[in-house]
Amino acid sequence: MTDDIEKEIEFLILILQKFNMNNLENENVIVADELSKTFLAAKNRVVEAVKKVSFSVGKGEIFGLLGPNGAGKTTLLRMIATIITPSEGECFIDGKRSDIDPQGARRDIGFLSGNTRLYGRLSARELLKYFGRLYSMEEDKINRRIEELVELLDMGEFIDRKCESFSTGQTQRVSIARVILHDPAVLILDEPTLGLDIMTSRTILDFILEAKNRGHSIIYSTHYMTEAELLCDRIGFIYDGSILALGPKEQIYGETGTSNLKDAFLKLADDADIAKGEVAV
Amino acid sequence: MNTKVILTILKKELLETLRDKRTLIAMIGIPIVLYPLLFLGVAQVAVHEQVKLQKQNSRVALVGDSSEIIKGWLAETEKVEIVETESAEQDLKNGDVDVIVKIESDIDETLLDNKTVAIKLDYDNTVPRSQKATNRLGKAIREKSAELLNQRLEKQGLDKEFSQPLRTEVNDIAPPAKTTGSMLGRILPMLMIIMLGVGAFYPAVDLTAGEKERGTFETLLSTPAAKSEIVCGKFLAVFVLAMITAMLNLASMGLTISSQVSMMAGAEGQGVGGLDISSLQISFGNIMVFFIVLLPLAFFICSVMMGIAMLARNFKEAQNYINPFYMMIVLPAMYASMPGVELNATTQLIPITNVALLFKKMLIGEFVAQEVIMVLLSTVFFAALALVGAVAIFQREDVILSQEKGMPFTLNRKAFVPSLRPTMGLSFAMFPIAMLLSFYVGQYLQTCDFVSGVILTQYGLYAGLPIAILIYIKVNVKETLSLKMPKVSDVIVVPFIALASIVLVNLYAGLQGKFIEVPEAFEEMMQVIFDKHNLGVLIFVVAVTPAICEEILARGIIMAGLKGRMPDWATILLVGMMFGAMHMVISNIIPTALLGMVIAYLVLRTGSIFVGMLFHFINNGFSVLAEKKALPEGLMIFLENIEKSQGGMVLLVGVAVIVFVVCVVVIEAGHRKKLTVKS
Repeated sequence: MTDDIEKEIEFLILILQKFNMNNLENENVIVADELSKTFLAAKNRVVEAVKKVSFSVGKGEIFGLLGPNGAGKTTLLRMIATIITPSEGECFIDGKRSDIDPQGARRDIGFLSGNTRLYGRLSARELLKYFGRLYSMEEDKINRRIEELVELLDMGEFIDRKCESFSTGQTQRVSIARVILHDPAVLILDEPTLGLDIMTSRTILDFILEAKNRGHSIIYSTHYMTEAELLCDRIGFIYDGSILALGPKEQIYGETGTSNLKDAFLKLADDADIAKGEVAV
Repeated sequence: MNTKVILTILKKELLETLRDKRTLIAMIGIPIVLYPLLFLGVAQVAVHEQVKLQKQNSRVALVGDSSEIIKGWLAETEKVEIVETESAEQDLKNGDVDVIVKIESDIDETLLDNKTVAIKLDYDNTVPRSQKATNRLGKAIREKSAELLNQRLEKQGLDKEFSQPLRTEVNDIAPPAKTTGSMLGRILPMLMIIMLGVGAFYPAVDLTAGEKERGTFETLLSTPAAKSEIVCGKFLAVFVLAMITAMLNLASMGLTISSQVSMMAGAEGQGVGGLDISSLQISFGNIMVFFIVLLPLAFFICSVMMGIAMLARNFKEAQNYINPFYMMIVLPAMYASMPGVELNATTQLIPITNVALLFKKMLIGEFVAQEVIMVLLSTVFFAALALVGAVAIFQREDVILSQEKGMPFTLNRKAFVPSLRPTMGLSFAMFPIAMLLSFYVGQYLQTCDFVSGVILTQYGLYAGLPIAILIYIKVNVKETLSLKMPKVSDVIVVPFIALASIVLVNLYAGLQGKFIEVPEAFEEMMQVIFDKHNLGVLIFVVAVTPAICEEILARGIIMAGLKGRMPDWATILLVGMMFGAMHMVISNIIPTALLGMVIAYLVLRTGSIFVGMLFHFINNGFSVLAEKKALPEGLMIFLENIEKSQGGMVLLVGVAVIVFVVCVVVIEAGHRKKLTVKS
């Protein structure tokens, strides 16, 4: 009888944790629980792009998502950002279950990827106002926030110019401004420094660290291992749709017997291929 | 749905679109600048040429012995100049002479004998000055002829009425407004629909496929705006822009044409060619009705265009997708402009045609409120259906985030990457290609010789050519054509569902026959064909061949590009409609489309084209046997008795409905089982 009650209590605690109703004990802002995504390809072939991926990101934490092209990073990030729905599994954003309340979840997310570009025929100011309105922000608040962001990201020179005339660096700064305009609890950043010069990259990286210090929960996906080593509190290696390793970088070094993320990743990928029998011995 | 979000998206889309130079030129530049310029330019040139012609003398060469008498007749005719020439024919060819008058008989002698003088006028129909000269001479000769007739009658002591035992007086009771309305009714509705299409075309492509290509779609999807709100915002923008473009185009065209007609009609206010714009009185109420019906029509056109454009991956591909639809919306409008086509219980329900016919009636002031309501309801229904379709397409992740590359626009085979099935653009393109080839080549071949013509058209144009294209562009033929053996249970179901469909579609065709008659010429032609050939030949040509070739084209190549890329119901509907349209005879279009939809459903669910071929063969074979009276005697008697008895007919239809439903249930069960096994 006592066992049954204990089991029931454990189950209730688990439920409360998932819905983030017990914030005193659980600071996880992002919870991905066995997320899977399957696509129907040609010849009715089922392709598993993401396979039962679980992880969580706490408040003020930067979670690095690393993996090669085609590993399933973008699909996973799109699921967390509620742009696509998972085939299986659940995702919670600041306590909101993304499949039940996707709009509510999106209010707490700032999503930036190579596929989230800017409207070329609008000026940066018009674009930020447009997104502010889509996030149901008050006009005064939008204007105030834009002025803050102009200063923060040094956009004074080009804020009233059309986005189609921007350099890569200016585009990325406006994109960052668009992402944090509504001050979301969660930032999902997919390769934010790709193609940028060192100076702009540094501005972006500084901004990410500041965002972490302000308590934002960040998922940071990149190809640059040095950036990940510098920024991320915890790392998740994704390969062929599955997470191969998850934890603080020191833990991963220990588990793989390496001293940097690049070697750790190569080791994990090789091991995975051998396990699948894809590498000729 | 949050209206604030919808309006925010609408405003942004309008702002962005109006900042695009291409849109501004297409929307405002063309109607405001081009039409007046074009019409004024054309009118100026036409007036200038007309004045020049009026001023010029007509140069007439006389050939024959009676030249002097003719000279005398023409002496008082204005602007006619007799020219001396040695080679009249050559001079006419060179343009030195405008008309040659040839008289071979002796005029005086012939007239004295009370006979007719034959006057031959040689002229060049392609030269305006020559035409003018012939008109002037013709008028002068008619006047002279009347004068000579009067002289003859006087000589005989007869009254003028002697030469005219019968006289007709044609009295057009239609007021000028009705005549003008009737003439405008043939062009204006079609123009209106074309203008709506023109207006919706660019924004529909730019706001969907254009946005995908620019990579901003995902940015929008990452906001709290719901997909339905995004579709509504974008749709409203397309709608507003289409209406503005259509109104600007029509207003500009209308003003330009009416000012030109007024100018050409002159100070007396006479109409030009029976067209008297000033007589047309359209009340404010009529204009309001016009707009009320126009709104759902614009809704329908914009939704379909947006839904289609959404399926494309980029701007260019979207243009390719929309072009066939654009052609398809013109066809019902053209049908409405044909003489004899009127608003009735059937045409009220045909989208686009119904609105065009209502406009036509409105322009002659003969519409009734009940018709307006019916047209409005039917158009709203189709508009809602189209919008639901657009929203359904927008919900599909694979469609809205699709970043696959389209088919390369080249003839270089090396540029094509092997693929399992054709792109949607290619499938859509196959339809007009087949239609055009069938119209220009197929009809000609079948007129020369029916049997060989059908065989060449079917195996060559419907099956051979499309398969050759697939092979050339490296598309997997087996996968595209669904060349898969069907399950035994599916094969067993086909004869039942085919016979049930034949009964139901024939019932519909009978009802439709009350409104749309089968063209007599078509019936006669079919009768001749059936009389001429024996049963074996007809079974091969009319049943076996289309069952193979038309299925390869419709349920093979065309359907392969659509299935999986749009909802199944949309695939079935589109394939059926295209299949119906391919048959070209108006009375056959809807019944064939309905059968086409059933076959599309069967092939889609069973995954085997052979199921479609079997159905098609049974349907066509049944028609051949019935026409040749070769059905089993018992069945023939049964069918005849059923036709005579109303109760028997109801029973037959009832049984057909039950059989049809049972077959669908069996097919669905098999399909679900297949899905379960796969998952």
